[in-house]
Formats: sequence, C-alpha cells, structure tokens
Amino acid sequence: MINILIVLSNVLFNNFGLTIIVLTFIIRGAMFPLTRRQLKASKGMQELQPKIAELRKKYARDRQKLAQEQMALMKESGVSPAGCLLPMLIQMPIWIALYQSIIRVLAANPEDFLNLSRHLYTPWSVVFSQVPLESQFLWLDLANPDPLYLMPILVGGTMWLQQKMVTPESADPNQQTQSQMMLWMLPLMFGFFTMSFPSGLALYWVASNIITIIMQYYIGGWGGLSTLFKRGPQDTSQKAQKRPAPVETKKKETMKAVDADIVLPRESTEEGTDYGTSGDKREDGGGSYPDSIDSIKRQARRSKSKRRKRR
Amino acid sequence: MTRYLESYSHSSLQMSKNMKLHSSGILKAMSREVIHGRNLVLLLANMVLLVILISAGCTSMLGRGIAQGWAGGIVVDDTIIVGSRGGKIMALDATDGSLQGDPVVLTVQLPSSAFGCGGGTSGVAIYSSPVMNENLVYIGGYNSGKVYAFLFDGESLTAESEYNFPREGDLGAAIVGELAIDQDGNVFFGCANGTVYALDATLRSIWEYDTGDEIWSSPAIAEDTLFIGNFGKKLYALNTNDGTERWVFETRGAIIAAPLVNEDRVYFGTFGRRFYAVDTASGEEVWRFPSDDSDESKPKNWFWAKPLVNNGTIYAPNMDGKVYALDAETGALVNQFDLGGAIVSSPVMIGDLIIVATQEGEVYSVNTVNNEQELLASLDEKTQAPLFAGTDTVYVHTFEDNLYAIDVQTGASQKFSLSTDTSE
Repeated sequence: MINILIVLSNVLFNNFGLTIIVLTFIIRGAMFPLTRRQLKASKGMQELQPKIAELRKKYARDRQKLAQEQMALMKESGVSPAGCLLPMLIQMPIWIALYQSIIRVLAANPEDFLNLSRHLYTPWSVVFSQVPLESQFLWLDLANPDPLYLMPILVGGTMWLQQKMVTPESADPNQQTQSQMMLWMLPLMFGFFTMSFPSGLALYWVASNIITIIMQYYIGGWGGLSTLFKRGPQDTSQKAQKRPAPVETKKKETMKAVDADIVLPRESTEEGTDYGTSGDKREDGGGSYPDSIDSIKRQARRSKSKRRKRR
Repeated sequence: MTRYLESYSHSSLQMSKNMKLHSSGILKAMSREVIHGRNLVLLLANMVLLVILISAGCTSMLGRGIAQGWAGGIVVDDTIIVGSRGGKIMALDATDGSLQGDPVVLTVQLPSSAFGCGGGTSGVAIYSSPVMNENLVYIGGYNSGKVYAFLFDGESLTAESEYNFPREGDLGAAIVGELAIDQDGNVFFGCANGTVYALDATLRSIWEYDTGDEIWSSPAIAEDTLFIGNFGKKLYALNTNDGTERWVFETRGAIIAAPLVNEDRVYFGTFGRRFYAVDTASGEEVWRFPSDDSDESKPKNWFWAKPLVNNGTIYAPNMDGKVYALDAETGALVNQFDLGGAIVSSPVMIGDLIIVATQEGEVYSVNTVNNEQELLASLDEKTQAPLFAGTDTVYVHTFEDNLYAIDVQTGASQKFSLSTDTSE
C-alpha cells in the first residue's frame, strides 16, 4: 500500500493530501459491500431493540430462556450477531495498513527514511524517485500536527455526526448513558489524538468519516441525526406526549436506589399480559405516584406479596 | 482517559462475566451482548486502538522512529572528537578511549504534545559530524536548529556558546548534513528550511541562499564554488564569496548524499537510483549511471552515503548493499562489490583500502588495487554514522553509542562506550 500511495501521488500532481483523500475513497469504495453488510446488520439489530427489550422484561429471571428466545428472534429476523462484527474484523487490517502506510510515507527524520526504503518495491523506479513526497496541502504540513487546530475539530465533528447517526434511542437509562458516553467519548478522544498526530492522518480520518456518513445515509437514512432536525416549534405536541416518560424513569431510578431487590412494576409483567402504559391497569389501581421513600417501599412490598399469592 | 479505560475494563469484565454465566455456548452469550451490538463493535474497535496505543507507546503509535542522531567524528593528533547520542560532544584518547575533560552536553527544549508524549528537555540529536578549523570545532544540531562552536585546546573541549549560530533562538528547522569549511575558514551548511548558510569563523552570517526545498545533504567546496543538493532533486553550484548561483542541475531524485568534487567534475548519487558526473564549470552532465533504465546493473535503492575516488575510479555505495566502481571519465561500470547489507555510513579511504560498513555492522575493506573485498569485523550493531579514519585505524560509531576502533591491517578492534565513557 505504501507503493500504491507513492505512485498515486505521482499521478495526482505530487499532491499527497489529494492522494490520501482519493485512496481513502478507493479503498472504502472497494470495501463497500462489506460495509453495507455491517451497517445493515447493525441497523437490523437496532430495529430488534424494542423486541429484545420486551424479551428481557419477559424473561428477566430466566436467562437461559432469554438467550434462547433472543437467538430465535434473531434467526427469525435474519439478523446475525456476526453480521456486525465479521465485516468490521475483515476491514480492520486494511484500515490499519492504510493508516500505517500514510504514516510511513510521511517520513520526517532520517530514521523514518531508512525505514521507508525497506518497503519500496524495487521494480518500480517511480517509488524511489518520488520520495520524499510533497507534504504541503492547503494550510497543512501533512507530516506534522495542524498548528491551527482545525483538523482536530473536523475529526471530532465528523466522528460525532457519524456516531450520532447510528446511536439508537433507548428507553433503558443505563444503555442510554452508555450510548451517550460512546457518542461523545470517541470524537473527543480522536480529536485529542489529532492534536498530536500528523495532519495527514487527520485528513485520512476526516475523509473516512465523511465516506462513512454518506454510506450510512445511503443505507439507513439520517438515523439519530433526524431527531436533531425534527426539534422545532412544530414538535411541541410530540414533546408534550413524551413528557411523562422521564417521570417514570425518575421513579424507577429512585426505587432502584432504595432497594436493589425491589422488583419494579414494569418488570413484574407476566408472560402473555400486556399492561400497556405503566400504572394504567395495575391491580392496585396505580394512579398517583408515592411521595415518600417509605411509601415506595410499602408499595413495592405490596406488589411483591400479591405476586407471590398469584403464584 | 482514566475514566474511559475504567469504563472499558468494566465493559470487558461484564462481558466475561456474562460469557461465564452461559456455559451452554458462546453464541448464546453473544446473543445477549448484541443487544448492545453497535456498542460492542465500537468497544472492539477502540479496544484494538487502545491496545496498540498502550502497548506500542505514543511514538511507536505514530509508526515513526525518534530522531536520535548518528554523528561521526574527527581524529586530531591522538584525540578523537565525536558527537554521541544524547547530544554529547566528547574528546577521547585515541589509544585507549579514555575521556579527555568533561563532555559538553547540548540540550534542547522539546515541544509538548497533546497527550503527554514529548515535552521537557532532551539531548540534541546530532547527525552532523564535527568539523574543525584551527582550534574551533563546529557541529550542527538536528532538533535544535543551531550550529554550535567549541574550543579545543589539544586536550579537551569547551563550549563557545557566544559563537553559536544563530546567537539567539534557532533556525526553526533541522541541520542534518555536515558543515564544510573553505580555505578562508568560513563555514557553510544547508538547513532543512531549504537555505544554504555561509558564516565566518565566529559563526556570523555572511550570506544566505534559499533553494526552496529541504536540504539534508552536506556541501562540497572546490575553490570558490559550493555544491549542494536538495529534496527538490536539484544540485546547486553557488559562489562561496557572495552566494550567487552559478548553475543548477536538475535530476530525477532527491539528493541527500554529499557530492564529491574531483578535478573538474562533481559526482553525486540520488534517490532516483542514478549516479551523475557534472562539469563543475558549466553544470553540464558528463555522464550518468546507469545510462538507461533497462540496464541490468541498475542500482536497486537510494544513494545515501558519500562516494569516494581513487586512481580514476569512483566508488559509489548504495543502499542495495553494493559499492559500484565507475570509471570517472566515462561512467562505465568497472566493478561492483556486494556487501549484502544497506550502506548508509559514508566510507573512508586508508591507503588503497576503502573501508565501508553495512547497516548491520559488517565492516569490509575493499582493495582498490586487486579489487578484493575482505570482512574486517562483524559488530552486530546498527551502523549508520559516517566512518572516520586515523592512521591504519577506522572508527565506527554504532547506533548503540559504541565507538569501535578497528585496525584495517589486522582487523583487531577496540570498543569504547560513549554512553558510559569507559572502554573495553
């Protein structure tokens, strides 16, 4: 790949910045079938989330059964867990090779040059005479970090957009927290790295992120980004409808904090019974939310004893 | 970062815990984990990244070597003056390698990077071998972008920092090549900022000439003309008196190897795997080797080391492991000596012997009379610094910061450690 980069640079007017962008496009394009499989599998997995969440509620106490049901559900939906991982694993060595090639070609000191000389393909004269490559591209010296810190912002920004598109909305606060962490942590981390890495590598990341965003849009639309676009005055009715949800979540979290063994009303749902919205059809009548910790405990004990009686 | 690592380790622990819970099969465990399928993929990708980062260290993560320098030295009477790794300039007794006086340590403030790599103070990396005029020794610093002056009193070295060039600050770019001194004691060198500098003996600027491309090559001086190559694939001939351009010769590859001037020709090799002879007065090409690309004897790698001349034959070492012996008049290939390893160190001539070392530390002598090559020593240490010679002795400064003194007649060697200042 080092030799291809150098030859391509020769073809592209000795412009190594352009070479990085073009080669990234070529490689990502060649791997598009794999990427598509991965994104589709990922999307399929996202679509199964509500059903899987239901199964988790249903078989909260029977992990064996839960696993069987999940497998059955995925088999039925034609979604495979390996579908997400395998294409990713196949592509990873190619990404690493591209990354390593860019770094090696952007040799900066005598040791780097001697190391590079061992990777040049002897029959191709051009790869020998082309080195060292022209490292100036726009305002960047591709062999050094961006002094204006624009590339870290671009890397972080494009990575956030890419992540946001595929981050599923989840009712589970734990999962939501994890998703939020991933949504912010990766772009921040890569933005941070970019401040020290050669800007040629940052250029590769930006190009790669933009391609991924395009591919994701092509396969699954705007995904998580659509919620950003929808937020406007016309959605106030939707917001009003969603308003009770946080109260429920808050209540659930409060109860968890009081006693980990307390089984929440939502989790007490039995097989074949649909209680719908929390509190609507509970045997204790539901209704108002408890206003003290003691009443929460009492309420939980009551529902626990009722459940035992039913059994 | 710590919290991030903690969250990873927590996720990993959770995953392994879940795996253990379901001994009935990995797939079943996976099926539960794929509830967070997307996150799992991201976790995996980032774990790989973090493993590389942590295990390889910040710099190796960049896939880059650290510039550490590989300076050669000079022999003055019974004293060796050499630049060691770590930015030390030292004077050693040539007979036993003992240190004469304290070494002068050159330091540079390193720029700190975003995540803790770099920063602080470090020894200057030195690629430029010392040169001497009267009692002043000069050396160029790679990562300091400065030329340093030292006073040699016949025994030890003293830093003459008031002579350093530039007096304040630095050139903002590396000095890789050696410095050259003309008959008037003026000092000349090329810098990675693309400029050729001419300084007087006290390192005050006389003139500057901007070539427009990085310079790593050492200059060569003949009478009042300076020859130097750059990354822009050009060889420049400049008037040493005022820095005016006499001519520019364009090639097909970057020029890092120092040129050699002999009689009315300048000889040099390039990254384009060609070796040229150019007329010093007109700048016209006299010959090139190989004359065409289909030549089977074509060198297979870059010319990095400086060539030598003896008895009308040019000896051009190449990184393909061969020394090409070319007729100085015609450029015809007279002979080639295959040493089996890349040649980065510039060779030296002692009598009729060319002493040349491979990157792997094999030191050979090539007899220019009978064309026999002989292995003098196997050092088993990376060798990239230019070799330098005393009477019947060649000095090899290895990457492990050892200096070997090898008798070219017998092959007997002495090892002087430059890092601990003791001899073996």
